[in-house]
Amino acid sequence: MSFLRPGDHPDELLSDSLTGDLTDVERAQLDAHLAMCPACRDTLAAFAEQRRLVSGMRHVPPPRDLGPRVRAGIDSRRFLGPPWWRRPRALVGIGASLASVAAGVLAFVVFSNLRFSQVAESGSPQATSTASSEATASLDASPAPTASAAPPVAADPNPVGALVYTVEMPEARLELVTAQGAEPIPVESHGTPVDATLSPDGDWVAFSLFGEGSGLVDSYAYRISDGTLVPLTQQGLDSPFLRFVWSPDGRVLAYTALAQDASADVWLFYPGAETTRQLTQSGTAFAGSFDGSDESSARLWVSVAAESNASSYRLTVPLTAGDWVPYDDPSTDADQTSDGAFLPMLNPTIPASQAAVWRGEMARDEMGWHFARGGMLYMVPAVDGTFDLGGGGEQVFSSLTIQQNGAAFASARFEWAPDGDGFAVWDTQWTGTEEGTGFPDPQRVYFGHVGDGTGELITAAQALDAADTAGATEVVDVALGGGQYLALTLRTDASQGNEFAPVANLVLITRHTGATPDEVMAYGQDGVWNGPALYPATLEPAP
Amino acid sequence: MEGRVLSIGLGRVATGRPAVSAAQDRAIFDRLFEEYSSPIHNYVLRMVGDADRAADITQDTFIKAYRKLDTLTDETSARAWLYRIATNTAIDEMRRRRWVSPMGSDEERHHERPDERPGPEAQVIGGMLDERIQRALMQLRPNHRQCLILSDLEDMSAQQIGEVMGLSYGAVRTLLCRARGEMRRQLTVEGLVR
Repeated sequence: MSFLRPGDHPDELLSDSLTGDLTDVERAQLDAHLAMCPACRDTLAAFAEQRRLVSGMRHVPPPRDLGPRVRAGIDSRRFLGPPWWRRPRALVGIGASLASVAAGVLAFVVFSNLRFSQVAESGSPQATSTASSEATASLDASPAPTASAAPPVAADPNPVGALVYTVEMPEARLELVTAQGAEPIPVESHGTPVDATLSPDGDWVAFSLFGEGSGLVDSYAYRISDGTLVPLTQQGLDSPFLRFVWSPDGRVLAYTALAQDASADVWLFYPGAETTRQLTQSGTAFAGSFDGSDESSARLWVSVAAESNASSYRLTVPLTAGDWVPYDDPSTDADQTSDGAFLPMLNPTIPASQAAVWRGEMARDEMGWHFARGGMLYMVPAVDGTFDLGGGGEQVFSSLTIQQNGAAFASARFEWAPDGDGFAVWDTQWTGTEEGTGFPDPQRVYFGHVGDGTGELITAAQALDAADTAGATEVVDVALGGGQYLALTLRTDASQGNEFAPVANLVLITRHTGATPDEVMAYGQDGVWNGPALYPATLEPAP
Repeated sequence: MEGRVLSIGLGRVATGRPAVSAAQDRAIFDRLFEEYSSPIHNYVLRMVGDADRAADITQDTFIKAYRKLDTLTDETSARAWLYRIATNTAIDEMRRRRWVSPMGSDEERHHERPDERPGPEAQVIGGMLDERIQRALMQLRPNHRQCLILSDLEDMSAQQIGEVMGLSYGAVRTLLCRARGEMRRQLTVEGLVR
């Protein structure tokens, strides 16, 4: 350690001295410092008293029936069948429309020698029957949306890559798998991939890892071509409001760093310079979306969370990393302001034509920000190139109403499809009374289209088939590829028996509405975490 | 993007322990349960501050441990292994539980929960003190609380805490120092330290 100077207060050494974690040199230096520093003597006494109090808490034995409960739990699951995606009941939504996914399957065979597991097995009457009945039940509940009015796209339903976390004791391994093969990513602090985004030019992947032991999130940018790894955030909190936002030209990535004290600020990553810059330092700022650019700068919507209503500000962001200071107060430097709006998420058309945005009263707790009252997601169309984010648009969940006590959404996760028309909402945390039986359901993914012509964006009918996520305890991430395709990372049911290690499945879904069940393909096997899929950033319109 | 498609084929990964019979597994597990069920329960209780939840998390911890027994390469490392499972299970439960009940209900339940073990006056006074310490602990961020409990209640070294939390030795020392500072402030609020 460095020499202690007068005025230093080495709290870390004081803490370490209680547990015997000091070297002889450190002990000698600390003793010398304590002899002349009354403040540190006070701190040491307080730390020692705190340790004495905690260590003296009474030991509470477990309930007497813990043993029988554990044994019953073990015995009841001892003879589990094959994982859900290999069971006949899981063959939902597959058989009737296998032909249409044949091209995708063929592509896998042609471009890779690697093994590929598919959920679908045709000719299972039980599976077909289950799928049909579920689809019918869903239709009975509410009318199915009409076919999407989105512009046609030459959609390749297959993701271009996936982050794969391999559970291999004692070392875990993280790899980026593409058609070119699997490449290990040298992250020191492993965790399970929970979010990933590909840059517009396809050269960089920005991704987040959730530390299972710490519950904290690390984020990195990784250049596929040469393996350059740039840390973006370390040991931060997770939040449904964290986004990776690339500028349309890919020259800058905006993201939110949410620290352990729940303070949030927007940072920028410049791939060209392989460096990061802090954009805000208010402690309450979240990255929303880019909204236009010129040769030297881009406009970025930044939202400032507040215990009452949030606000959003459009700030100018340089497209090259230079020596500039963060914005102290975004409100004084914004060229547009929207009071009451939080996290504008503009669709990826150029220029953007729709923006999803949150409104409501926010609150902060130890896990970060959420909506405490009246939280609702709205879809706002552009009018003459601008968005009325604070008051315009319609509710994304058309039929839900904010209840008298303010109960509504605490949060949800949202993602646009590359076509700018499709979108998905998942991880819905609805604090109000559910509509019917289980709507909205935090376990389900809702897949809507702005231009579907129904006049409603998300109702219960837009939920993916229940069978698509059967057996999953959590939808970790969703990636969309055009108007019909989704890749889901599903954390699997705890009863699968391998849950100490993260167990998830990457599932590719071709979405159908009406009586046609979705088509489902699964990748990998249990025992690994197949992280979020990476779709191509842009899909060209069909000729 | 033509031709850029993904294919993944990953087999179950190898584990470090030679195959043993179900009876041997059960015997190993029974020893682990006998030795660690009580300290794990106590640790989880201090993490979540609620007896019912602590019992459920402890139950899930040992069920998971049984099913992951093949990843335990050495019984001498069982303690850190079990605490890590318990920690992951508790964090998962806290994440999932976050929106299940209205804000503040945990604290209310904690206060409303009667002491099921009435005893001599000293125990009652001790219980009241425990409640104040527990209240201070519950004000800490989860990773601070976890680190502090592992150090002060479970008497783990920074190295051992790192094994449980998946952190480096240096990171644990820093985290523990911050946790102590935060706990000092909370105990001051409770009037227990200066």
